Amino acid sequence: MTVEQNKAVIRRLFDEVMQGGKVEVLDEICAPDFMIESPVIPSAVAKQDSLGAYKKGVASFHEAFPDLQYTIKHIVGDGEKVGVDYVLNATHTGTFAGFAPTGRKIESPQLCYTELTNGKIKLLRFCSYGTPLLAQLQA
Amino acid sequence: MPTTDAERAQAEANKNTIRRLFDEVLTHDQLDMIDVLYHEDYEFDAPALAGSGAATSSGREAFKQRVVAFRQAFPDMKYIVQDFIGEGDLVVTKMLMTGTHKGPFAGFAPTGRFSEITGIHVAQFLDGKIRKTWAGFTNIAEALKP
Repeated sequence: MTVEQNKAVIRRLFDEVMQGGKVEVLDEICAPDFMIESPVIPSAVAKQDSLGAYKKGVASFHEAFPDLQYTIKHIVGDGEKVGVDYVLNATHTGTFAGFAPTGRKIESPQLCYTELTNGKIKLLRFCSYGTPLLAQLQA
Repeated sequence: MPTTDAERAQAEANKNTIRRLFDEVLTHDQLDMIDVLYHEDYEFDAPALAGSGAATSSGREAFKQRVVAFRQAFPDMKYIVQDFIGEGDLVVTKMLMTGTHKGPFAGFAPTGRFSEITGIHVAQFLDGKIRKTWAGFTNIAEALKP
């Protein structure tokens, strides 16, 4: 796959899964040995069932933040790797990680590093680089 | 995507600078190399790092102080470049930091444990030097929990 084809797969991840909430698309765009590395998914859970854990994570995130909006600032590719620099904006109107809805607007700049094989995602690593989400709900 | 030989060569040179940052500066404490690798107008982009004891100001001197603070928190700190992506003026690095947690770090009290913390680092280049960086850790809450 070319870098542009791999970027198109990652754009689908952002548009259809993360933004659109269509977790079933992951079955199509993830490799069988898919691994998730996320601040909110314990590594033991990820090792057992990354696809299941990530689907659950996306679904519960959409329940807690139904108006969530992802904005991509940079998307870069090199070989079978794609990196994304983006911002999440959302309003906390559902329960999240044990926090009752606060009605707060959150803004979280985040990074994503992905590795693909034959056009399928085999690694998704996420992190945020501003005030952590939970800290924005607690403060 | 690098389209010309010159752009491709520049992307490779930028990656080499990042390799030197993680090896010479962050693993081997060669703080004077910051003046070689970083642009004189270096900016550190860390929007409101809540709970972080680390200084978040821009500039080479502020970065030197941050490296000293990291070293106090993790005296045996090593940074490992797991892989990177170079395109245009950006290098995105898949990184791993290891060390024994002996001092406060990013709001976490010392655990005394050897920890492996994964993350992502982004550097934007200007004139062959690091002009701006932003970065985050992935599993820090799990790795440094009490």
